[in-house]
Amino acid sequence: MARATRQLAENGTPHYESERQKRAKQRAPTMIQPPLTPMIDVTFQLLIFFLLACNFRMVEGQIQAKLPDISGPEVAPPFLLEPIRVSLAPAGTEGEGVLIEIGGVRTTRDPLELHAVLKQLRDRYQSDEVPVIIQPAAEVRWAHVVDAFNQAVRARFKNVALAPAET
Amino acid sequence: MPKSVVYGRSRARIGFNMTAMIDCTFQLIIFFMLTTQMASAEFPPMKLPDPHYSVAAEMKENKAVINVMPYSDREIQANPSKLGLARVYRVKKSSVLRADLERLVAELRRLKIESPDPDNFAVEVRADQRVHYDQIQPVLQALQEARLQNMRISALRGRKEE
Repeated sequence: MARATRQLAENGTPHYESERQKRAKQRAPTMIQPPLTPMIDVTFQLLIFFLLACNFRMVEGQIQAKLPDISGPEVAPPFLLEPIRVSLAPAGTEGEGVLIEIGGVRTTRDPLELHAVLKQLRDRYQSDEVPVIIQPAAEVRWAHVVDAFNQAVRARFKNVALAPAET
Repeated sequence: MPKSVVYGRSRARIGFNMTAMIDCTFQLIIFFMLTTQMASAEFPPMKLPDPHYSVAAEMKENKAVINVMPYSDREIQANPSKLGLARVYRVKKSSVLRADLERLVAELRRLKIESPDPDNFAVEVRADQRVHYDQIQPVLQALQEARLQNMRISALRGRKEE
């Protein structure tokens, strides 16, 4: 059995320490550790800031468009090809919908149908140079104007224009 | 008598293992730092048009952005007649009122002259999807008067169709 050594504390209380305890004390390496608490605090502050401030933006892009040059003669030259006119009128109680009229003959509310018709017309004319003129009414929402423009570009027409609002 | 090394008689030390949690926290911070896009004056948050099968693509070029700012939802709630109206046109940091078309033209001309390549200078029209077309028309008119033909229309990209 290991022999315990008797030691007296400052107040005179005897303390016994075995040989094993002594050896264990000698073996245990001193652990040096930097104070992590402030770093973790700051890290959490940053995390909370980013969680609250983060606002995921929708991925946006741009559709190319060309505006007519007004520096030329005051009277615009006539179109070489008869343009396809797409009229847009507001629909619904608050104008949230749209009524699309293509070439004065066909009416739809679906932009995808506009695309299908424009595609048919492009195939019929066998040309992408035919001008497409989008003529929205004053109170048509910009979303519908852009959608119509998008469908014309998607149907691979090169010459798509926005006409002044119908009053 | 030999003593077990494994089952020593020293006191069990109870403590949290923080390493895994700190690792996760750092991963989250790095994710948010990379994905967060701070609000900028050039791209204020607004509901952009979201066309079906959008052909919109990212174009990083020599351009300026005109933001057609709508009234806030709170203002529209208080006065529904403001729905569809543009509150102000914002070019860079300056705001131009709807009635002040001349100032908008002057601003656009200045930006074109100051651009590194004035011939290929483009203007991006960024408008809220609920704004009426007659509110955008003055911008198109101003672009024409400033002899700017290259226009870009801002829209959301590549919506998946149902």
